[in-house]
Amino acid sequence: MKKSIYIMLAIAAVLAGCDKLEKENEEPVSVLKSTDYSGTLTVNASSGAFDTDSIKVSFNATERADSASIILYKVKFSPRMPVSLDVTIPGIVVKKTEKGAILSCDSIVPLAMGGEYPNYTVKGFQGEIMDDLLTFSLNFGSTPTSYQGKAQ
Amino acid sequence: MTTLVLISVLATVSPLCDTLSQYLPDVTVTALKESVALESIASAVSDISYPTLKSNGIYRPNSLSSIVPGLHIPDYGASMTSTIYLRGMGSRMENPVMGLYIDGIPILDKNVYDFDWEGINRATMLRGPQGTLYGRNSMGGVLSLSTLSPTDGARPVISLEYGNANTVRAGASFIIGNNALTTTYRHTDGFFINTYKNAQCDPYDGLALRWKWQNHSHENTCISNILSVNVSEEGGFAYGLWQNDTLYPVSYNDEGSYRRLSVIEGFKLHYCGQTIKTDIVTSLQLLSDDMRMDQDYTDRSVFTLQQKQLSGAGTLELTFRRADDNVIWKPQTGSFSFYKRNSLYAPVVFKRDGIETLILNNANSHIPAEIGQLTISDVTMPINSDFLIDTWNTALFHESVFDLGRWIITAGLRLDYEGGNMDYNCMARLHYRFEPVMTQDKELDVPYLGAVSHHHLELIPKLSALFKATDAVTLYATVSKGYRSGGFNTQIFSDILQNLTMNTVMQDLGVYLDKQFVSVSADNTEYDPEYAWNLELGTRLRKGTFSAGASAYYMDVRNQQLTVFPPGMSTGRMMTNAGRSRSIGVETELCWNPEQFRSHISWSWCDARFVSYYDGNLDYSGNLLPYVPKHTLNLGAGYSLRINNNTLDIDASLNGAGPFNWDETGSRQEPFRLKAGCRIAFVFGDWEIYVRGDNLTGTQGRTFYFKSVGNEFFASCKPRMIMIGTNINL
Repeated sequence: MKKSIYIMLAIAAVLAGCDKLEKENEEPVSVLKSTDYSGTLTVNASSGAFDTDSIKVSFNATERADSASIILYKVKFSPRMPVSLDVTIPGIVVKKTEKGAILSCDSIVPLAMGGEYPNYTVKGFQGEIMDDLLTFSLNFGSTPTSYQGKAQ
Repeated sequence: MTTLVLISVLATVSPLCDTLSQYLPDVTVTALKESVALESIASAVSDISYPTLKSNGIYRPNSLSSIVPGLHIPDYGASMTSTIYLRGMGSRMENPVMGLYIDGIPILDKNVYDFDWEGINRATMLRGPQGTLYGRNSMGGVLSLSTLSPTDGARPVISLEYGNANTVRAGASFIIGNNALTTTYRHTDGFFINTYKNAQCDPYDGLALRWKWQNHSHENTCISNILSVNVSEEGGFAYGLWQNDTLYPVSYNDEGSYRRLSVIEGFKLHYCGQTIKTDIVTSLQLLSDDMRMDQDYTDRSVFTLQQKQLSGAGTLELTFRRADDNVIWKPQTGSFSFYKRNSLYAPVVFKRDGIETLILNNANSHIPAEIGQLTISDVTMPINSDFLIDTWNTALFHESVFDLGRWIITAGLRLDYEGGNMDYNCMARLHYRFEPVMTQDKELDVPYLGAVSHHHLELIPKLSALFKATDAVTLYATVSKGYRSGGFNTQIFSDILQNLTMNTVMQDLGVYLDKQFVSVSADNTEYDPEYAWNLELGTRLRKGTFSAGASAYYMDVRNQQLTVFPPGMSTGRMMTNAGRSRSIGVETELCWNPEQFRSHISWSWCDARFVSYYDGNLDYSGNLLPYVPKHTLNLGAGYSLRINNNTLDIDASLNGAGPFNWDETGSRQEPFRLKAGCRIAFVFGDWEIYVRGDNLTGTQGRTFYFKSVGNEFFASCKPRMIMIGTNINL
């Protein structure tokens, strides 16, 4: 009888521990899942660097929160560009940290204008989510670009 | 008893211009609402009796042009067109500036203004704003038509006419007991060839029936019922391309047609009590029509327009007057109401050439080529638009006439409320691809639906004084106001959807153009009423066989409704309250009818200019209003030669209008042009055989001008026409 009680207490303790673990894991995952940021995009175009404020970026992690996509809304890669584009960067590798995640990917073809857009192939993407801040830098094709935004 | 016979009409002496007045009794019947005889109305009046209508070949409203001074109804398009210009007012779209009454029943829809006039006994036109008694859409004047009545006592008449373009007009009028029946059929092969189809583009077949029943068996009461049915099927839109100072023949590849069924049922009750006369006029009006148009008017497959509508309306007017006519104070108080519901289906279909030139070229001109180019794979791209438009109006009016012997003072006021609501449900569907990024087409639906409404309250006063200087000479002065209803622009929705579709495609792609596709929104499709104040001085003279009338007017028009093309790459057009204008003019009519001779002169001069009009690009202030002729002129003379018991009638006329500008800038002008007409009739016994001609001078004028997607087009006058015919009194 005592053995059964010990076993039940052990199971209960394990279950309670799992529950605690899940709760610990859940919080960063929910932060990593769908978050919109607003911030400044800096493009180092051939004509010079220029900033665009109030650029919205959506961070969308997968269920397992080990990869994510980032959508940059209404961005321009040149101040003289007569259009702005929504650009999606898929396949970003996510490594969770205590306060957020480290993001990285390389040679990813972004999605824009209804399909893949190899002219702006993403190289050297490195970023971080820390608390409510998202920062990243990358090369869109040969154009160095960086972003810093705050969760909305 | 006579008053019982006339339901809401007056026994009046015709003041002017029955060129064949010897055929008529002294007392004539009009269907006007005024409380005084026609000669005592302080407005410019044209009164045309049946013989004059017949001798001038007036079988449709546009034939009244210039015969009524200042009236210009160009003959073009199709029978739905009925563009009316009067005293510098008028527009090619939407509400008319002239009210039309048939036997006292107001005709609500301009699309049925143009019909065959068989059995019309009299056409009476009051010029200038008549808003106090007649309300909406009478700011230029009112045309009142009186039809054959059972009390006319006329014998049955059969008429038949044949002319070039296989034009046949056959009519019959009968009076049987309390019933007057009229029917007419008209056919023509058409006068203009569509060279693309190698066929006439404006054939016409129309049948009209009218039945009027009157019962005045009770001493104080008279009731009548009038049923009119018109059905027609026709081609139309004979517009030729104007390029390099050359007018090319009509050549378009898509359908141009108009089908119409109109039913108007009117009921009238007149009750004469001891102190008050009461008139009740009510009607039901049904219109079902279907217009199809090649909207680019070229042999390319650019875009087409259909307007298919089913509308029903009911009207009710109550009028109370004093029973005793021989009193100083003659008040008239009444109310008027109507409700109309119109279900309109108006798709615009862009065809392959239109998709390429109007949509893709426009879209891709905004997109940098290095990013990509938009393609649409559809052979046709329909933009479907369904509208449900409700219009309602209610008014109270009062007019007091003080008959002081030589002076007649009239003062009136109308309180008029009109409301409207439009539900719109539009949808564009297309399959697009953004190359080279997209490798396959994507279907996209662009819905656009909602509702807009408007409400307007008007006060419409009138004050006039008429002075009978002598038995022959009358002078009058009038200050009056009129208004033309506001409404909703439905034709602009294809433009809205076109631009919305492109913006939605771009949004769907995640591409945002710095310069978006611009169009108005549905909220901007409502336009307000137009107002006109009229100051008028006039005189009438009647001495023996000579009669004359002259009037001079100044009109101040505000909130002027003008057809404009909205900003952006527009394929639509819309009515908007864009300006203010003023018209100054003089109108005269002279008649001299001694014995067998008859003569008639109508002339008008009008200077109508924008006081202010800025369309967003140019300032047109000071420019002449387009489409408004500076002069209208009609000269007519006739002689009846007695040969034994028979008569030879010879009538000739010259009719002209112009010059006028075709647009606000005055860059295109139409000179004053005259057309000659003639009618020679031999009357023997109960038979009349005649030959008549229209445009005998073969005048090659133009009746309409417009621009469509950058091209200019003209409609030409109908060619010389010769007709032979007969009228038989059975």
